[in-house]
Amino acid sequence: MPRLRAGPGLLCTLVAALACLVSCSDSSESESNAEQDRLWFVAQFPISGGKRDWKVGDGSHVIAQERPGMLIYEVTQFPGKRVWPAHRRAAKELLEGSLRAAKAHNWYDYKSGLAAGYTLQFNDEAHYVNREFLFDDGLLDPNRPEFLMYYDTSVGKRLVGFMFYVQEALAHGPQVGGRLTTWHFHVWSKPRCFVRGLHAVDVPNRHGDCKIGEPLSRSPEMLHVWLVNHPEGRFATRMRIDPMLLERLVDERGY
Amino acid sequence: MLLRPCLTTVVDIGTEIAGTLIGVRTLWPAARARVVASGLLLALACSPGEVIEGSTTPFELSVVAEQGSPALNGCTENDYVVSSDSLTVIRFGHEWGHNYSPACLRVAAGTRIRFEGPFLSHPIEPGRIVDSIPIDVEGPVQGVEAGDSAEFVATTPGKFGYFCDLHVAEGMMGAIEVLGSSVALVGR
Repeated sequence: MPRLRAGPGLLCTLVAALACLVSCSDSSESESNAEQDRLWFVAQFPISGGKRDWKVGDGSHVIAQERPGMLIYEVTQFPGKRVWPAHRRAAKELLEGSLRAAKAHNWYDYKSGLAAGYTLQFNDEAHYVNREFLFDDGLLDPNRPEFLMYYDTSVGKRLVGFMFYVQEALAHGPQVGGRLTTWHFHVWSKPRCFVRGLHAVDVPNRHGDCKIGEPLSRSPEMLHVWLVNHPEGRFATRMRIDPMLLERLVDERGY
Repeated sequence: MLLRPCLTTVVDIGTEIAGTLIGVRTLWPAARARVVASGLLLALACSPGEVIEGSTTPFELSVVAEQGSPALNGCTENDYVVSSDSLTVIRFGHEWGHNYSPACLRVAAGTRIRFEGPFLSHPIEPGRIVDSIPIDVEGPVQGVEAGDSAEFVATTPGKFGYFCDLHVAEGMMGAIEVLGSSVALVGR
């Protein structure tokens, strides 16, 4: 089970839930601009997808878990079903900006992605990280995505999406598209060595020490932007796509 | 399909219900369901496979099995791929992405099962996943964290789960059913 750093008391939860009755009501578009006043909700990503079991909290208490199997948590300030027009516009802008940037920088070509400074992340086969963009002060900049995601297909590696990172280990990502753009983070049973809390580069030795960086069991928050028509949406958390479907989605896109 | 409850009753959390009556918000006939919220008013459909939709009854069920047999890591009876080869390969990673192929495998005892793929990015662990928690960690599959190939021999009959330690949260998992002999594979 997740190890809690400082669990909120029941009273706090009840008070927060009561406050939510007011602050979480989807009553007007103007409320969409008051993100700083909104409560945070966290939910463990369900294996089979579907409905999230949102609980009040911003996920900062989830820093490790002890049993095998990485867990994924999503965090949101918009647990309801409603999407405000402003959020829909922002999400569309983010997607279209990403599509334009991928084309403009020629990142659809795998070799161009590598030439642009993207390298395969530690213990991974799909996430290619750009260290310069990872440590700069950009945030959700389609021209400087922290990660490109290349998937293997029968016709070689294909760019399927961007992955954006926050700027600090426990920071929250800006939910520009409201519930459409829900950020997530990972929690491992075995820690990884992170440089500046953002860049996983190794695993600790048997004493739990890192040659480089510090051991952490939780990733920073991240957001996918899919450049293929992902069945769970263009900002879906799930990386797993059926291989046959992926082939079709890439074919449909045409490049 | 319209709601047509034959029976309503209040059941307790953790109650398991099996049989042909279950059709509550499921498309699976003869499914087994487990009540995941207490004190709920449960509505049962009249016949197998009947779907109840649009009900205001506050029931909430988690379907954990199909055809009276528990699903294991997403594998139901009809999902198992039968292999009579003495060496069967399960591939993952690369072109298979976060998937095992085949994810659900039925073999005879004595079969060698080889996993081929990048264990570094997809470390495998044995276990049946229930409510996102691995249990029942025995079976032919052992934990592997590095390399591109690992081979196990299915000796003991039974159903055994396995999963990717890094991607189980997205559903990267599978199961192996080991039958007592190759004769048992015929007709399955």
